[in-house]
Amino acid sequence: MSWDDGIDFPALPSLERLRLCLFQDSRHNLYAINHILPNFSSLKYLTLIICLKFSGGNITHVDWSPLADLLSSRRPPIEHTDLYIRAKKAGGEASSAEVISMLSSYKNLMGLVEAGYISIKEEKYSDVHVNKFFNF
Amino acid sequence: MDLLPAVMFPPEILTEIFGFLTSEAPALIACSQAHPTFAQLIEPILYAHVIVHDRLTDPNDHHLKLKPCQLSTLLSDNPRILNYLRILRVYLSFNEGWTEIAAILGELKLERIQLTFTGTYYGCIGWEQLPMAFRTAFVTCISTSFMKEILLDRIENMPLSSFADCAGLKRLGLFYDTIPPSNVSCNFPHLEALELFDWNIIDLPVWQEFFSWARTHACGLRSLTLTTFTKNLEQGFLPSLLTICSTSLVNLSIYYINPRKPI
Repeated sequence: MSWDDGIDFPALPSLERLRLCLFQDSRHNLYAINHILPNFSSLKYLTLIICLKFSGGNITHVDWSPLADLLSSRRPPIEHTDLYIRAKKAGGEASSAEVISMLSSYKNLMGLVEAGYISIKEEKYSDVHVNKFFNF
Repeated sequence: MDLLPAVMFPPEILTEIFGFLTSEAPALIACSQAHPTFAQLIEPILYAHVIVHDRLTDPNDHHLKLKPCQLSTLLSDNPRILNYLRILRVYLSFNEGWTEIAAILGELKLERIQLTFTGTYYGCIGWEQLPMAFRTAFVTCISTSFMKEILLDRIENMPLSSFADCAGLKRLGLFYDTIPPSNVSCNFPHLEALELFDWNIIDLPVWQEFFSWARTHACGLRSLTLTTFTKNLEQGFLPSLLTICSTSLVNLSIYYINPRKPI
């Protein structure tokens, strides 16, 4: 069994808050989110933290449309999602302006931001696990 | 000394105000130096949450930070502070600090303790490698009805039986691996929060014993945090654990580490 095959998560009828912190491979990250979310029908608040490392300086070649499609499907109908994206690239960490610029071409995602369902957070998410990944 | 206008407030109001600065030790210290009345009111707040460390710590964390010897001297010179200390976070590497902390632990009535090994950046230390005096004092310290939260970071292989007498325990954080309780039942009714950091149980019998323990003591979890690698998810650890607490769980945090090359 693997993420690609789907993992059999049990139903969690009381779950209100989910924090998912996913490191590295964006394709697998999106599989993970896709497989987890539909099981949590009572979910109200999602905090999604995606941490990526790029070997070069260009971070724009990641296709974010699966994430945008997933969040815009609003299944389950989450009241609010906080989205943190941190990207380490050659020469340092990508700025929040770079990340937001990269996401701004996904109109369905930006529509949800304008409607108040999603916040793309400008501050860098920081805790002991994330900091370890970024080697701080 | 002239009375400052603020000193004219009732002490309850001032205590309430200073209570908003619990995580800002430098500000509390500055206030306490402004007037003896302030110092008296601030003391229980300032010493309620202490970090003891032997290396640099997070510069963004502004709780009171002391070296092991400083804490030892402070408590020896001012025994009343023993009554104020409720939360102790210990960050130690390889040094004599463990012995100094061991001498203190038995006198404390803590509600929360965090133990973090800082010897190497990614590394950890086995429970059995810590000095015997420290292990004994630590288990004595946590085996009380007031201890509600225990977090072990980068300390591996602590036997679950060590928590058997923690009657008030609500939140438990364990690192990497643990030794099942070997049929020892723990006195706390049900954990409310469980945090498993860099969790990695591979051995199937250990896994089964852990779940046997969890079915009794973690079946009412409201909060679960798991930092784990792909294989633990693929082998069904997380789904199995979620099944145990599926009806009670309100907060779930998953740190899924996929050790792949940069994109």
